[in-house]
Amino acid sequence: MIFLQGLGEGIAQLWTHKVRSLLSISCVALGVMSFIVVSGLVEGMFSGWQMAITQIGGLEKLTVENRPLPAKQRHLAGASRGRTLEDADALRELASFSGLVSPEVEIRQPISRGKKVYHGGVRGVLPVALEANNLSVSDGRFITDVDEWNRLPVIVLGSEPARILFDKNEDPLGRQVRVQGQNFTVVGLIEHYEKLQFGYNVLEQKNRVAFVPLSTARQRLSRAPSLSKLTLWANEAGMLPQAVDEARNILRQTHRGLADFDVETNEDQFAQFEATRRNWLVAGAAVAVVSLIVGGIGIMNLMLASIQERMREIGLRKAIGAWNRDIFALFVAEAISLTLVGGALGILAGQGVITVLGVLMAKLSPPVFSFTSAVTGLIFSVATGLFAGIYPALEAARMDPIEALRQE
Amino acid sequence: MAMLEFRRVSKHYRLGGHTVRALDEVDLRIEEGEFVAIVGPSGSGKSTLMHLLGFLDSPTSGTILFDGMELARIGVNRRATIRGEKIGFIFQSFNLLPRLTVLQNTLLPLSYSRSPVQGASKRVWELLEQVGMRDRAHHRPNELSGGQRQRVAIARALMNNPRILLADEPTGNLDSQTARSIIGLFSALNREGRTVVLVTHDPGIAACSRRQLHVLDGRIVKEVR
Repeated sequence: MIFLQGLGEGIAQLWTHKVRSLLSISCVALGVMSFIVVSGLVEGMFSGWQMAITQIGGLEKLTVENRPLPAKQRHLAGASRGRTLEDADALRELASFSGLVSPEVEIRQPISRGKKVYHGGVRGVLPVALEANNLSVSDGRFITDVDEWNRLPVIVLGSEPARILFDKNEDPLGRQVRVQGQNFTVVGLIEHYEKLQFGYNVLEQKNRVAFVPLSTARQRLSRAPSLSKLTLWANEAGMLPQAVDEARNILRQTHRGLADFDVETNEDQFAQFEATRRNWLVAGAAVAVVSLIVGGIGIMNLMLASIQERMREIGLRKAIGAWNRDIFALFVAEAISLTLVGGALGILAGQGVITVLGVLMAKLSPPVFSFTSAVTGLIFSVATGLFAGIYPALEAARMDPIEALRQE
Repeated sequence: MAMLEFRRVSKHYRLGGHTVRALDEVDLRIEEGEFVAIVGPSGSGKSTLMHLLGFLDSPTSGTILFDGMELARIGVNRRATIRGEKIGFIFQSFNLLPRLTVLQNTLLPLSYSRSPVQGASKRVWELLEQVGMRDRAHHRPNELSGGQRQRVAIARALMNNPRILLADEPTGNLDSQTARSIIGLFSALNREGRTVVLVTHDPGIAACSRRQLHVLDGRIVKEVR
């Protein structure tokens, strides 16, 4: 009750001394505003990055990489065949913690059509690659099992090779392109992906793709027995360690004990992502804390001045029955009401800045206003009021009523 | 039993190395329903006496009894509550809170009342009526004259229905005509049975009371009934 009365008194004081109070609470407002804007910027920036990370395969992705043999196996180098289709088959059949297995061969050859040439290379893949790479077909179809079994000369293009090889008004479906002197028929087109971040499309890699059946690639384009990529996906992110161990065991069988491979995950990248995001948020919070400390000192100063001016009031309240703790609560509540107003102004200002930046940075990664950071800002400002109010309130509570009433 | 009793009460201050005997072994009894004026020049100890009467201060030695309770045995908070519920203070400079209206100022003691007050909203209007400030209830103190402010302060002092009204130079800031009307108000309250203690340096004001205690150098030197 007395606390509520104190909140009301605080607002009334603010109203009576508008300029003085506004100057004092402006630091609190700036602190909360900067916190909200920085965390908004960080969230905006990182939502793009997070999307990019999810798009490259997410946390469940396991990649099998080639490794040089360890010293004690070096004499067996001739027996090492790298990653093979056999590995992929074994993983698909034996692995219980992993589902999708996507083997791939990369052909670093240009795709041409008349005078138009695309230099991004071709990937020989299985039908599973569509799901594995998080792609969808916008036109036609993806590579099918029939293509794979029959080693058909068909090709599916991403938006970038399609744009380079075909005119705007041309329909690429059913037309021929050439790779390494052989004709391939375009049977499907991959959707165009775009997510701009600082003017750069973080999803551009998903547009620079061209797929042919794995069997076709191995027969017509590359004679190498080994795969250039072998990727699999754990069924659950939580089962990642088990999935990695299982994949290692299976591959040790197919590699006949040769330690010429390793299974890697995206975990490090995620950990780095989280760490970087936390650093940015901490930096934002640090700026806010500094302004809130400055603001708190301003509020404390204001409260001390206010108490000096209102000594008679304190004396009177004590004379009519106020306990010391009532006076203490009254002034703490006043300080909190000031910082609460500051915090609320800061949230409004922060939201305003975020809206303006959102318009200015529409093409980049606009900041997002988050409810959580607004609540955090309010909590910060209440804490500032508490911190700033305690000392002046103690001074007021300890005041001798006779001395206080004697003041002119 | 006296409502308020001082037994050999002394109050000493240390001031620049000297001991000031503000009150020196004072014996005093105030009965229910009395109208007492404490008269003396400034520095005589009458303010100290007033503070002790109002439980705002405690004596260096001696015993103060209020309704048979010994002041020394009462804790700080309990003492504040007794001040709030049993004593009504009236000051020379009114001490109204400038941000609050007449009505809010009058209601202020309720904030610190530890026992529930019945019919407060009706009572506050009766009090404002009694002091003649009913039609100014929504004005703020700076819109009132000195006499009007003191009337509001008296209404505030009466809000918790105290046993005793303690007025410290209540007419000190008022012209003589206004002062007379305020003293008239105290007399009227006393006739209704309210105990009133008035501190003043003005013998003319003191003459309106039924019992005058003359204080000089920390002692009661003369009593006039």
